[in-house]
Amino acid sequence: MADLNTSGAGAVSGAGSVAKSGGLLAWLNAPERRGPLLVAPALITLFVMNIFPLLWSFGLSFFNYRANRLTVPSFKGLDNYEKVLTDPVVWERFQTTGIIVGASVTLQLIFGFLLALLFAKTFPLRRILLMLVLAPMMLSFVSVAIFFKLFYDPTLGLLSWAIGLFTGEPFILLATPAGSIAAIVIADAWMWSPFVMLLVLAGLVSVPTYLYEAAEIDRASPWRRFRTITFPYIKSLLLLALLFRTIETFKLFDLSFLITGGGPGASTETVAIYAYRLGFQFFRTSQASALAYLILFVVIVLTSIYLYIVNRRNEEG
Amino acid sequence: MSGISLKSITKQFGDLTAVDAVTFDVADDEVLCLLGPSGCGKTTTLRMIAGLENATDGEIYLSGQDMTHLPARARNVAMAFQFYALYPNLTVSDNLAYPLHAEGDSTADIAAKLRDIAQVLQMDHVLDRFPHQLSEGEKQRVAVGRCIIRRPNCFLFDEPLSRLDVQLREEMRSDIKKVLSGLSRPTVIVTHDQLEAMTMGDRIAVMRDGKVEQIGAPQDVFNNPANIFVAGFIGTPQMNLVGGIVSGIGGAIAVSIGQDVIELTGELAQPGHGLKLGDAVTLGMRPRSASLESESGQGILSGTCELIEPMGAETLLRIAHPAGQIRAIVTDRQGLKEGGTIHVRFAQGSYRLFHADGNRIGDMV
Repeated sequence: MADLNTSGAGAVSGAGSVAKSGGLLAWLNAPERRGPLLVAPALITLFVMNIFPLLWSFGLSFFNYRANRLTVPSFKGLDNYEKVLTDPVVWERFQTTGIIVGASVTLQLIFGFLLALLFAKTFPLRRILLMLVLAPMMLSFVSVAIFFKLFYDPTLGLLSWAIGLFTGEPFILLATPAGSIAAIVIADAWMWSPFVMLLVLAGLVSVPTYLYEAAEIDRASPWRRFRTITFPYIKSLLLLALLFRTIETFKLFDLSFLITGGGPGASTETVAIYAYRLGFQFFRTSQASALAYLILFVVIVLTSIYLYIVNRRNEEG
Repeated sequence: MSGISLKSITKQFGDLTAVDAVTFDVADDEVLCLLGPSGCGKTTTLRMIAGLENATDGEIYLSGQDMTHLPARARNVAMAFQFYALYPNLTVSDNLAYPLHAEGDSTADIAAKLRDIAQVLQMDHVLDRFPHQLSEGEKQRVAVGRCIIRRPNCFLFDEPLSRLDVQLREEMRSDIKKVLSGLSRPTVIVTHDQLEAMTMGDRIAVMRDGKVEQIGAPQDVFNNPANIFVAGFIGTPQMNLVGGIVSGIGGAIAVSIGQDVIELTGELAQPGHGLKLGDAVTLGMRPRSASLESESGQGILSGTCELIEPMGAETLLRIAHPAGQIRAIVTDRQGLKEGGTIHVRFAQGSYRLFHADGNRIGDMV
C-alpha cells in the first residue's frame, strides 16, 4: 500500500512534470515553430563558427590585441588600418596577388572558353572526356598543390625531365620569382578553367538552333555568326565567370602556400598569405584582422562593379 | 528553265520516311503552297530545298543548277522561319541588313535597300528597335523583310502566319501576296492552313505522310480532289464523304446510301469506269451544294436533324443518316428543329465518286 501510495504520489508529481515537459515539447512541436526549430542547429553553427568570429575579428582590428600576449588589449581606433595601408610590404603583396589574378583569370577564361567551344559539339567519347576535364575543379586544393609540386620537382618531376631531354640538365622552375609565379598561375588555371568552361557551355547550348540556321541561310561568315549570335548569349555568363574567378583568385592562399611557400623570397606571397603570417607567425593579430578586412573591402568593391555590369547587360539584353 | 525542281526527293530519319519521293516544279514567278497536316513532311521538304537538311535520295535543282549536295550558304535561297529567327541582339535595321553583308554591298546600297524594304513593309518607325520590343505582327514583317531584301534563287516561307491572330493573319496574307507578286521569284510557302494556301498559292501541293497527294491550282484542287484525303482536307466545312454501294449501272450509275438511292448523271454516268454492281464506293458532296426538300424521294437523302449551328448568314445542319453524318449548309432555317426529319438534295454535278481505294473516279466539273 505504502508502495502504491508513494508510487501514486510519485505518479502525481511525475504527472505534473510530464505535463510540464510535455507542455514544452508540445510548445516546441507547434507547426509554426517546427520550421525554425529544424534550421536552428545550422543557424547556431553558422553564428558560432562564422558570424561571431567575423564580428569579433572586426572588433579586434581596432585594438592592439596579440594572440600570444596576456596583456589586456587597448583601443587604438584606426591605427592598425593606418599601419597596414602605409606598409610598403602590403602593397608589394597586393601587386603580387594582382599579377597572379590577372594572369590566372585570363588563362582560365581563354582555356575555359576554348574547352566550351570544343564540348559544345558532339564527338565520340565526349561524356567521358567531359568528366575528365571537369575533375580538376572537384579536387581539393591540397591534392592539386601536391600534384603540381611533384610535377615541378627538379629531380622527380615530369616537367624537369621533359625539358631535360632538350637541355640535358634538370630544370628548376621554382628557383626564380617569375618561374614560381608562373607555376602558381598554371596550377590555378588548370584547376579552374573547367569552371569557366561549365558556365560558357551553359551559354553555348542555350543558343536556339534556328538562329544558326537563319545565319546559314543569310550566308553569315563564321566570325560574324559568332559576334552577332553566339557571343551575346555567353556574354553575361563570361562576365559572371570573370567575377567568380577574380574574387576567388584574389583570396588565393592554398596553392601558393603549399607549392612555393610564398617563395623564393616573398615572390609568390599573396596578400592572403601575408595576412596569415602577420596573424600566426608575427602574432600581430589585430593588424592581421585589419588587413583581412581590407581584402574583404577590395572583394566587395570588385563584386559590386561586376554585379553592376551584369545587371546592366541583362537589362540591355 | 524552272525556278525550283524537285526530282523524287526522299528524306529518311532512321526508319521513318519523312518525305517520300516528292517531285514537283515551281516556275520562275510562281507561288507554290505546300499544304498538309502536322508531320506530313512539308517543312522537311522546305528545309531540303533550303539546304538545312540533306536529302537521302533524289535531286534538287535551283535555277537549273543541281544543288542537291550543296550547303545552304551556297544555294542563295531566302527563307522566313516559323519562329521568325530574328537575331535578338541586333536592331531591326541590322536584322534586315544581315543577309546583305554576304553579298558585299556597299554601305550606301544597304541603306537604300533598307529604305525600300521599310517602305514596302511600313516599318520605318521600328527600325531602331530590338526584336523583343516588337509585336508579333512587326516581328513577322521583319522576318519577311529580311527574306525579300535580297534577290535569291527562291523564297521559302515556313508557316509564315501561324503565330499571328486571325485579324492580323488576314492582313498579312494579302500584304505578303502583294509583295510576292512584285518579286516574281519562285516561292514555296509551307502551311497547314488551307485558307492560306488557297489565297496565297498559284498552285497547291497537298501532302500526307511524306507524299504529294495532289498538286494543282487552288480551285482545281478544291473542285476536283484527287482522292478522299484531299477531298476531306480542303474546304470548310468538310466535304461529306459517305459510303455507298453501286446498285445500278444501266443508263446512269445508281449508288445506294442506306435506304436512299442517288442516280448520277453527267460524265459520271458514262460507262467505262469499271464499276460493277455491288462495288463499295464513297460519295462526296460539298455541304454548300445542299438544298432542303419537303419529302424523301429519288436523289434525296433523309435523316434526323442532330444539330443546328447558326453561322451568321448561313446555317450548318448536322444530319444523322444511316450511312453516317451528313453536313449541309442552308441559308433558310425556318421550320427546322433538332430531332426532326430532314430531306436534303445535293445538286447534280456536285457529286464526287471515289473508289474503295480512295481515288476519285472520272473527271467532272
